[in-house]
Amino acid sequence: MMPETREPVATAETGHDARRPLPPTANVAVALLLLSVALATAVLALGSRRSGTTFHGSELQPPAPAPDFALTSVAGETVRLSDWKGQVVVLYFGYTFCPDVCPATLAKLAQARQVIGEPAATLRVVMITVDPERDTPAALNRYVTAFNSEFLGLTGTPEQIQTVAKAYGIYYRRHEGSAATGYLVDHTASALVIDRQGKLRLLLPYEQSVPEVASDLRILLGEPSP
Amino acid sequence: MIAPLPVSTANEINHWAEFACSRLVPGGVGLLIALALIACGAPAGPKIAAEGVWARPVASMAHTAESQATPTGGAIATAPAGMGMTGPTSAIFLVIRNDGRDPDRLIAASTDVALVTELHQTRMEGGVMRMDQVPAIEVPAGGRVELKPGGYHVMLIGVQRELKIGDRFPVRLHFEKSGALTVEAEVRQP
Repeated sequence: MMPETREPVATAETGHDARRPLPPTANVAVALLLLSVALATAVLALGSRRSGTTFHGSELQPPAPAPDFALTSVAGETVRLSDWKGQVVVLYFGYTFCPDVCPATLAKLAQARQVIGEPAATLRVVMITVDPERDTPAALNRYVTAFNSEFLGLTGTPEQIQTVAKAYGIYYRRHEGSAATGYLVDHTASALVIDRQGKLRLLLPYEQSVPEVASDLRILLGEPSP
Repeated sequence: MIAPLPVSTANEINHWAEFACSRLVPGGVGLLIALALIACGAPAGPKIAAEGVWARPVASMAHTAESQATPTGGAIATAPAGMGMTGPTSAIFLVIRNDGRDPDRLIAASTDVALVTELHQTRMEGGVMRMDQVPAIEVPAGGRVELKPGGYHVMLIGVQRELKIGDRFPVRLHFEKSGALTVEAEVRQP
C-alpha cells in the first residue's frame, strides 16, 4: 500500500488559508512575542548577574498578572485560570495532530513532573488547542492524558482561543497540508509558567531538558501560596 | 577470523563485499580473491541501512468519536473537505546510513498501523514550530541522515490502533535507488 505522498511542499505564501483570513494583528502578535522573548532573555541575563537567579527558562520581569480566561474542559465544563489560584500552572498551546514538537513537550513535562515527585501534586499542566475545529474534546483528552493522567486539555470557539493566545503573546497560524493532513498549524513552541501568585513568570523554550524544566518548576512550587 | 558485522538489513551482501575488499584481498586467500575482485568491480551505488527506529506512542482510541465514526477504518471519507483526516498521528524517527559511494533519497514510507504516511520536517523559526511535508530526504554517500525530534520524521496519519510503549511494528522505507527496506520500529518515548 503506497500512499499518495508526493504532494508539493506548502509554503508560507501559498499555504495561507484564504477562507479564514487572519487578522492583521497576527503579525503584530508575533513581533510582540519575539520582542518579549528578547527582552526576557536580556532581563534574565542581567538578573542572573545581580541576584544569582537559577532559572533555566526565560524569566519575565517584572512578572505581570497572567490574564484570566474561560475555556471549555474536555468534560464540557467551563474552566477559568482563576480556578487554580495558588497553584503553579504550565500553559502550552498545541494541537493533537502535531506528531513531533507537541508530544515532545508534553512528554518532557510529564517526565519533569515525575522527577519533582510529591510537590508536583499542585502543578497544573494544561494544553490549550490551537486547532479547536479538529480537536474534539475526546481526541484532546486522549492526547493529553496519554502523557499524564493529570494533564488537562482545554478548547473553545476559534475566537475564544484566539483571544487567549493573543493575551499570552502566543502565535499560531494555519498552513495548507496534503490531502491527508488538510492543514497544519505553525505555533509558538514555548510553554508558559504561571506562579502561585497568578503571575506569568517563565517561558520554557522547546530546547530545555527535563532536568532544567524540573529545576525551574521546583523553584516555583517551593514558593509560598498567597 | 571473521568479526560479526553489525548489519541487520538487506544490504548484508554489500557489506560482505566491502569486507572482502578490505580484508580478504590483501590477505590473498585463494579462490576468495576471485570472488572479492568480482565484488569490488561491481557498480558502487548506495548502501543503505537503518538503525534506532522508534515511534511515538498513541493512546487507545476506545470510546472516542473517531472510533465510532470509522467502523471500517475509512476515516478519509468522513473528514470534512479541506480539513484533512482527524484522528491520531505519530512520528517515526531513525538513523539512515549510507556506506555506499552514491547518494540516495528516502522518497516514501508505509506501515500497516496508519492510513497515510508522509515525510515531514519540523523547523523552529523564532520560537515558532513549523511542520511541512517534504518530497524526499537525502542520504549522502558515505554519510548518514538522522530523523529526530525537531527535524525530519516519518509522519503517521490516521493511526489505526493503540501504540503502546514496547510495541513493535514493521515500517517499509522506499529509497529512490535502493528500493524498499523493511525495518522494525519500537514504540517508546525519546
